[in-house]
Amino acid sequence: MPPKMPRMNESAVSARNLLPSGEARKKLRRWRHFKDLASKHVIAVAGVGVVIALATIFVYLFSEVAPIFRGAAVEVEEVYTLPGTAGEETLYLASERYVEVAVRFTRSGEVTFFEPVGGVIRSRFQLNMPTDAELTAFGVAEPRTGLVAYGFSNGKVLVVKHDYTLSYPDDVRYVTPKLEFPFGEYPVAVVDDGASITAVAVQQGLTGISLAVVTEDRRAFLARYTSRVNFMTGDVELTRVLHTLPEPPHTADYLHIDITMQNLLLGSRDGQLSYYDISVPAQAALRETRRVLRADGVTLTAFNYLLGTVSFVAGGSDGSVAQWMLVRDPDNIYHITHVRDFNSHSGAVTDIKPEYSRKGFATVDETGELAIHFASSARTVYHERLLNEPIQRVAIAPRDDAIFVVDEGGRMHRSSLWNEHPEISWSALWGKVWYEGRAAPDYVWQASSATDEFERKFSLVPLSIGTLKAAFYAMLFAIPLAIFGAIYTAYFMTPKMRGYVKPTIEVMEALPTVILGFLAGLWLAPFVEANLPSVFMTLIFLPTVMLVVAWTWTHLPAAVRFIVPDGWEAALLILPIIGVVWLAVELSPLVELMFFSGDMRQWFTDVGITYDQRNALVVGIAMGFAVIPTIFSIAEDAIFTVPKHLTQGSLALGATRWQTVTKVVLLTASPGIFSAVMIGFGRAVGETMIVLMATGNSPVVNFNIFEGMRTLSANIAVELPETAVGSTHFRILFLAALLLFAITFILNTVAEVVRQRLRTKYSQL
Amino acid sequence: MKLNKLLKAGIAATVMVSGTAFAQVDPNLPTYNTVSGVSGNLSSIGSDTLNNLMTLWAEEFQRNYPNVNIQIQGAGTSTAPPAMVEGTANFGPMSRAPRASEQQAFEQRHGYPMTVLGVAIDMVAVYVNKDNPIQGLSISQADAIFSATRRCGAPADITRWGQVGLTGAWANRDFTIYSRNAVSGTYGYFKQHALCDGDFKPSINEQPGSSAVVQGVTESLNGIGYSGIGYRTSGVRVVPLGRDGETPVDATAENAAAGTYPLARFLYVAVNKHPNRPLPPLEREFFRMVLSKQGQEVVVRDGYVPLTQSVAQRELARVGL
Repeated sequence: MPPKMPRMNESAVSARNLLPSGEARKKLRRWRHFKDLASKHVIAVAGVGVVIALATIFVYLFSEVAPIFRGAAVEVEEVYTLPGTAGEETLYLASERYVEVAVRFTRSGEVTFFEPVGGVIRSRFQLNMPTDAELTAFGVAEPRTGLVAYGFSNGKVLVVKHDYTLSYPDDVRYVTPKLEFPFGEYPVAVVDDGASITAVAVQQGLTGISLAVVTEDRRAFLARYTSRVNFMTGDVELTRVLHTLPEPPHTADYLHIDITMQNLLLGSRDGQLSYYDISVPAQAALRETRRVLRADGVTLTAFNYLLGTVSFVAGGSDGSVAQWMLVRDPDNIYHITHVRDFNSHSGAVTDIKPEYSRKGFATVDETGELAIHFASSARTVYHERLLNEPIQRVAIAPRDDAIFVVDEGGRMHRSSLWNEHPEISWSALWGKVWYEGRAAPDYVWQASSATDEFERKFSLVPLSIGTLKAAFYAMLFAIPLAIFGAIYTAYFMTPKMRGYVKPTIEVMEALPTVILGFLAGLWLAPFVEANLPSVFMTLIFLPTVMLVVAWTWTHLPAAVRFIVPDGWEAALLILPIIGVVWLAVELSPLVELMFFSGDMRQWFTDVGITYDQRNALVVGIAMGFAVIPTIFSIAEDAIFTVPKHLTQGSLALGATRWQTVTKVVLLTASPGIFSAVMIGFGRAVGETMIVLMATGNSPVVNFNIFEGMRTLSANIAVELPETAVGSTHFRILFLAALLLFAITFILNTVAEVVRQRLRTKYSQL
Repeated sequence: MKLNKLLKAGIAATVMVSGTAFAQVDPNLPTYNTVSGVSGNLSSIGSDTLNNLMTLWAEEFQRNYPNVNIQIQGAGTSTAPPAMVEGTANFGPMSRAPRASEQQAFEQRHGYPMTVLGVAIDMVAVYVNKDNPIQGLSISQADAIFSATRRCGAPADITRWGQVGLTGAWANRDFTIYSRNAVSGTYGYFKQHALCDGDFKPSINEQPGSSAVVQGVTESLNGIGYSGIGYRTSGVRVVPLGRDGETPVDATAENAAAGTYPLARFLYVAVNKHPNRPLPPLEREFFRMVLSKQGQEVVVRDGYVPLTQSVAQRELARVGL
């Protein structure tokens, strides 16, 4: 506004005097122009800023999520002849976790510790191999135990453990390798009559070390050892309990014991696999034998357990790679069951090695291909021809950052490995996955445990269903209350009463949701459980009584009705509402006794409905309260601002007030009401504290109103503090955030588009 | 593995000495004497089970050193390693030993693993409503109630109280299962030792804290939940537990010592100690105080089982004290 304006009632003469001079007017024009320009730019910058802020959030979320879609990368860094005696077959190759020292076990019993970078030898040992017998079997325990076993033709077994100690001379880490002999430095007799051993398995569990052997004349033995050092002589005293197992139905080329010492797997080169239950060794039984290769005429060329020794991988001469495990049927009998296939190799699989902290594994074949797979996500993250000659051995570093490949000529190919997020695939996030130890594929969210061998379960289905479920029940509660309340407040109520009602409901918006959640979880949930009939009675009788009161009121004599001024009738309902709720609570035990044999909660259980105290009903009510103010406020504004000429025109043409509301007011206000509902829905989808506190955050996949849910937002709040920055779990939580962002973005966009279309349609009224 | 075995021996040794007189502090523990030159910030992020204990210790510590600032957060054990990695806390209370992956994250930042000291003994208790008449549960029964996988060997899923021997009105009551959330070390511990590394049922009610679990069980007649023994209230009952084939026993120090109570465990505090350098004065004095007579008296006051002198000495030796 210019500072001075000519006054309208003054004469032209004085007006001319008061009119600013040409100079001043020019100045004012410039000032006005400047303000115009300034506000234009400030507003533009602010608007663009909002868009940029949103885009940045999106870009940031996406950049945190993006790495999980990358595959693995392998880069050969060095090729050298394996240290130690050249030309000898390498039976086993492993590295310690810092990849500073690696170890090579050969057929002649030579153990060489060397630096994988450069191939420099750190130390060499020659095991005490018997002179009168030859090596006939070799077995490796779970890689984290570091145990390997040599089996000989005289029935003896030598068990060796490679271990590493850390020191920090000059503040730099130094790894010192060492060999340990749990049963002494010389081979111990497992088979007393000296029969030749054809397969040996070693495993360390909580109860000690177990050995299993199969002899040439097809007998199977299980030996459990407890060792004690004699303090006087320093000798190791060994207690052995030997059990004879039922006769194997086929030859034994692969033999493995699991870490719980309950199952013994015995595989033959022609593809047969037998499973013994050895949980009570004295009653060990052969449970099942079946072929673990699906194509005919194929032989089993590689076989190994995955981390945790629950499921196992079979590699065939046709290059097939498949995961199998023991699955329990309804009668509690375990069966060897095929779980999933991975990308096939071009030639026979020669070696399979598991990762140390995840359910991944590497396979190599006789054509020089290397592949890296991951069990839970059914993904082959890497599959390339690395060499042009057969690969003999493969080893993964414990921290999945290096991979060693040994070719037939005994050359070592040391490669760096990037394989951070193999756990994720479309099917792992959105499909049913068959996890270890489960009877069937399922949607499961269970992301952590105390141990690393735990199979992480990252299905987003339970979380997405939970989010929609919470929002759905909240809207079911909120929409009728908020919309009908808005119609009555805006159209029928006297302005004075509206002046009280509207601000009161809007103040509810300021109520912290954490308080709502707290009340819902600690007071409402137990109350609802204890007074179930009262909840249902309130739901049924409250609307009924309101209608009855309204009908009765219209039929009262005019003299009575005129006591209450027009638009104040709603106040009359307060007493009946309180009365109905009070009666419902009071009558609740009586109703329970009459219809539900005294306990409605138990009645639900008896008829087969699962009831959980912290359920969707409680969340619906609590979250309903949180979204009612939003919906009410916007919808009420929309109805109240319907142009008066429309309603008055309608009334003047003889329509009743009800007809005016349903045929004119609601239609005109529908864009506003629609956007109110959509904004309320968006709020319910993103709401965190109420669901977090009022539910048990149980990741169930159903829409049962009496069971809980786990929503995307609550899940992020619960789990983000515990995740390591940059880990797969961390990135999946960001993916959940991105998903949440996308849902609200889509909802709001749809709301806006529909609102615009409705507005253009009804603006012609 | 080795650490676990050592600790089990430690629990047995500790409680056997103090066992006869339940929850008595070992008289051989050294008395703590204040030294000069201790100031700074004592911040702790980690276990909820240890939250009260850390607060009580910190108060005791502040009585000795009034110009030490104290800040304690207890959202759950799994929040401790990230805090130690990022250096946002100087103590990380944990109710389970750190995972290999957690140590790896720490090493990547600092070049050496973090040091973890046992500071008290806890028994993870299974709680039911105070009106529940259950006499005891075996581990495989607990597994069948809580888990979807039954890896401890129970023949069938347990969904009604009648399946664990309750009769009358209880026979057809179902379970409302309360659990800690995944951030908790107790959650991980229970999963490992009571569920034999299996999975929880999806219908469990995950609670943000131990007291919320106990509160939930108090409010549900058919409720069952687990938490540290320090959170026992009058509204709940502690269920005797036993390994399969053994008689269920109460969660007492004697039974933990005898090894008959299956869910006894150490509680830890993690600290960032360089292998070649001594601990800074504040950290050093805090551990000396915690593992002294005064510190272990606090353990008894909070409902846990104290360490013996020999175990306390061994733990202090880990940080060169």
